[in-house]
Amino acid sequence: MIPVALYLVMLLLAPNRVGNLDSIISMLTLAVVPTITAYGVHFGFTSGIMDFSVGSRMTLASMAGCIGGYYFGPIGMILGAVLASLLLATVIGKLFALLKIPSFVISLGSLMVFEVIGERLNKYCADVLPDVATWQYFKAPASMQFIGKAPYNFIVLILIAIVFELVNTRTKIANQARVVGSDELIARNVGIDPMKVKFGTFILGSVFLAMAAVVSTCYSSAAGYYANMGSMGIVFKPMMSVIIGMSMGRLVRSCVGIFIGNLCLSVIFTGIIALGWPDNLQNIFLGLFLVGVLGMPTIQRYIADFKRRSAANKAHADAPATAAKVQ
Amino acid sequence: MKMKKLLATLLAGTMLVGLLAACGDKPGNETQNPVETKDTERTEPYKLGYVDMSSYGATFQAVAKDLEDMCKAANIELVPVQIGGGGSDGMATAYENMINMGIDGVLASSSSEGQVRLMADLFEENDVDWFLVNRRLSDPELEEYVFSQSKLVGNEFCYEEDTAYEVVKRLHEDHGVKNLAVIGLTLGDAAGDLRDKGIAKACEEFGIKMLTETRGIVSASDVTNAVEGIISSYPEVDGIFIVGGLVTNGALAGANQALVNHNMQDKVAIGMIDIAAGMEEYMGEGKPLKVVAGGNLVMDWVIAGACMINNVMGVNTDETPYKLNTRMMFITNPEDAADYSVYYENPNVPMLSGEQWNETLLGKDLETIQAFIDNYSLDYARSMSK
Amino acid sequence: MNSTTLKKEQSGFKLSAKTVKSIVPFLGLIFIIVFFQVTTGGRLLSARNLKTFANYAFSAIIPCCGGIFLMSQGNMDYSLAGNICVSAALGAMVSQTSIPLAILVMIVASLTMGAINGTICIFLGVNSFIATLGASFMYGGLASVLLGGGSITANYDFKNIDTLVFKYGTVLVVAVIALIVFNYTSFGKHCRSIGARQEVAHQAGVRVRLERFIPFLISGLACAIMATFTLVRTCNATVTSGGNTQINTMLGLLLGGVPFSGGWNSKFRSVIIGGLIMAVVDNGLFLLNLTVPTQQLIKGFIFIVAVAISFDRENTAVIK
Repeated sequence: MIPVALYLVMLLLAPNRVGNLDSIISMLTLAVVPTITAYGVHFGFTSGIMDFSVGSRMTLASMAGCIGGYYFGPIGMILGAVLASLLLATVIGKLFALLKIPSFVISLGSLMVFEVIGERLNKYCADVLPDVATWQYFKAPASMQFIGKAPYNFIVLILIAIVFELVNTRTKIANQARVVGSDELIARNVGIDPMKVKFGTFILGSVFLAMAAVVSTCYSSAAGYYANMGSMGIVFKPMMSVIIGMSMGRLVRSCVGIFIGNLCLSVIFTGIIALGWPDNLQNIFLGLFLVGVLGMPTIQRYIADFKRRSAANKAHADAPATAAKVQ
Repeated sequence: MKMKKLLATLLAGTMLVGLLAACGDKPGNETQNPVETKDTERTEPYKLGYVDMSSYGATFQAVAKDLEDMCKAANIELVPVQIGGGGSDGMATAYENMINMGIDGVLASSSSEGQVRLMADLFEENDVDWFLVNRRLSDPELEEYVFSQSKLVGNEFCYEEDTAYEVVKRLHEDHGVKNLAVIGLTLGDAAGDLRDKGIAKACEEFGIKMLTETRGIVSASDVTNAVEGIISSYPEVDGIFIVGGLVTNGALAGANQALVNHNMQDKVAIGMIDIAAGMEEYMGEGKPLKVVAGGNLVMDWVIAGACMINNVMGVNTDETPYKLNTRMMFITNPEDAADYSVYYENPNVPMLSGEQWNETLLGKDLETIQAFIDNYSLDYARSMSK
Repeated sequence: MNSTTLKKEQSGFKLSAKTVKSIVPFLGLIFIIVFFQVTTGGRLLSARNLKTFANYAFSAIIPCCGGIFLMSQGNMDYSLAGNICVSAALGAMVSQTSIPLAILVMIVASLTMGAINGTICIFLGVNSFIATLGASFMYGGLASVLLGGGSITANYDFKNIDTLVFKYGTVLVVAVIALIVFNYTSFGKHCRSIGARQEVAHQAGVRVRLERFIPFLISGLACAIMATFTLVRTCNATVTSGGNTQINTMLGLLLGGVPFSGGWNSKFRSVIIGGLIMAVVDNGLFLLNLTVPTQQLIKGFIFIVAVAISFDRENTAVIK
């Protein structure tokens, strides 16, 4: 409902800009990559992990995908991305399980290292494989670029969403992740090894992240490297959508909820472009939106409380009056 | 407990190995030994510091390479200091650190105009010669203050406003652009303001409709998103201006892909300031990229470097502080674009050799230097690197 | 001291392990100082570098002083950079009229943003990381609206304050005040007890809501000091002002040994140790004059390894 409402607001503000099919398809398209990314973030996030390294891992997976795609075509691209992503997730997951220090530190430290690896890899490939990379970015194999386009991107998204939903509802690890996330001490008491579960979420999430990397690379036809911790920002919007998706958990399935969350963000994004507003405002709206969605239940409760209390007060105020009358 | 001790020792070991491994990673283009003490007598070469932004991309690596060659030719020790972001505070810290390293002069760049006055004070206080690179001072009061400083050697800048104006003009006149969308990739860059002014001026003059503006973009797919949004909201768009493509790796590829997805590759003309690696692929018949303005950055630093070296050599010293201005090159066909990447902004191919620097800029008067800037072209670059 | 007895009662773990644990972060700091002192050829602790070090120390320790109160309750503030940036932008605007007024504006602005964070987190019941993440988007957007995507130049008289006495003095004063509040007032103790077990603190008569709210204000106040520092340092507010303060602050506190979940193991010395480690690492890497990627690589290693050494696993029930 929320994205439709948002869309209607935008439609009201700029009827001739967003009121066409192209615009709607474009909004849906914009939500594809962050949704798949969010599927990758979801498991870790529900188990309580704070992972900032997502962006840097996706970048490296994209790069590996581009190299794989260059040599072995579409299968190579997917395999390259998945393998790279699995490898990186294993590194982080193992570090986490072994060192037992906050994931914040592990993911941040790894991000710093991964970014540098990405940069070096890009420079190296630009040198030896100019067909795959320029100095600034890796090129997506031309044979795969259709995946980024409608309607193929939607087909891919639906397939991945189904897999996500199955994994999320039918597997032990997803359930355990939720238990660990809601109360780790209880989880331990019922015999779950939290570290093992968290390691599992890294691995599980990494497959989705690899797919997100592939679709994203095909969508923009390029994967650039990041420096100075620039890749950290990638995770925030998917993370927001996971949070929004979780807060809608009672109404819809997670896979849909996350997509709706991303759709909201993309409607805001497109709407602001369509209105010709400076996109500085975009971040303000995003922040307000996030806080609004999450604070809504509490606000509703406050309002309900207030109503009840004022009704009670009223009744209370009326009571002596009637009492007096009786006397 | 034993386990933990073992773990701790192991970690300390890894840390040491990691550190050492990383230290060995030091690239060759750095000064041989920045740890030298400067308390010995002045028999050492003149130390020239500058903020090296190589981590931002190939253009800056090309700058580093050219400056290095030039300084070698003039027997001057170049002291590059790298910073990763941090804005004005990072810059200020970088200059303080350079002074700690005992530099005699500095090629000073600034992240914003407001910072220049403090830099002037800092260099004056510490008796360091300085050359203000790539910064046009738009505030006359500030300009007067800066130019009254005794340690300032000169100031060099590019007319950003005119460049942006020119790109929009060409898009309009040569490619019939009437509805323009702007994608600004730079955040917090004062040069961006001047570019905005140029765009606004051209739009007004030629009756171009400015549809929308998007800024603060991080990744290639962000650019695709932005273009996607623009196309769907404004189907009438026929021109996109990417202001500052250096910052985001793969920005152009991302923009192109959105056009491809909508089959609008030949309907929208892209103009750009700052070059992108591999841009020739997006130029030519039926491809969107029509005009790129680039190339002042390497020139900015090279000229500033040459002027500082000349100052050490005692050339043009009675004219300090002086002003020079560079201009951007306009690239409009794929051949030039390809050659540009080969001859101009390529860290592996220096702009000129040390000898050629000696012939063209070092020890020359200001007129010769300005003439070098004005006459520099791709043809010249081709002929020099033969 | 009162808190130690309380702590013993609470967790009742062995003293020897505790001593070891409390020494480890110091060892880390000493190791890092020695390492950089040697590799920089003695320049780290030279009189000349003392001036530069002041800047690193200032921007590392001050936000940690504000952050310890939040972190000891198991909360965090991810909006520091945005807060500093908005505050500095407003301060720069006003400073052309009057510097004291500018400082006042910055304090009010930062406190307001702190209060907004607190309201979202405490009264709307949103997790502090998510609440302040949302807030950081808002403040970042607001800052770039205020700055028009560029920068605002502040009154150059700010430069007159840029002295060693000001910088080291402020760090000292702020640290001492924070130390006293954190260790010797009931509020400071309540912070830790809320972090340990909110329900227990509530039962014990702590006004939990209010005392969870105040640290957000303290964090805001630290931002005001940082914003003033930005203007003093650069006479200039840009969209990059504030940088990665939130990340550095959290890392600093973690390096100093504060557990993410807060509680009685949050020690004030973490602020000083963690802050100094961050400052020394940054300054030392700069003095070594390595390339940015190499610096980043080394930093990444140092953070993981240093936290791995100093992190208190035994007393942390949940490692997130």
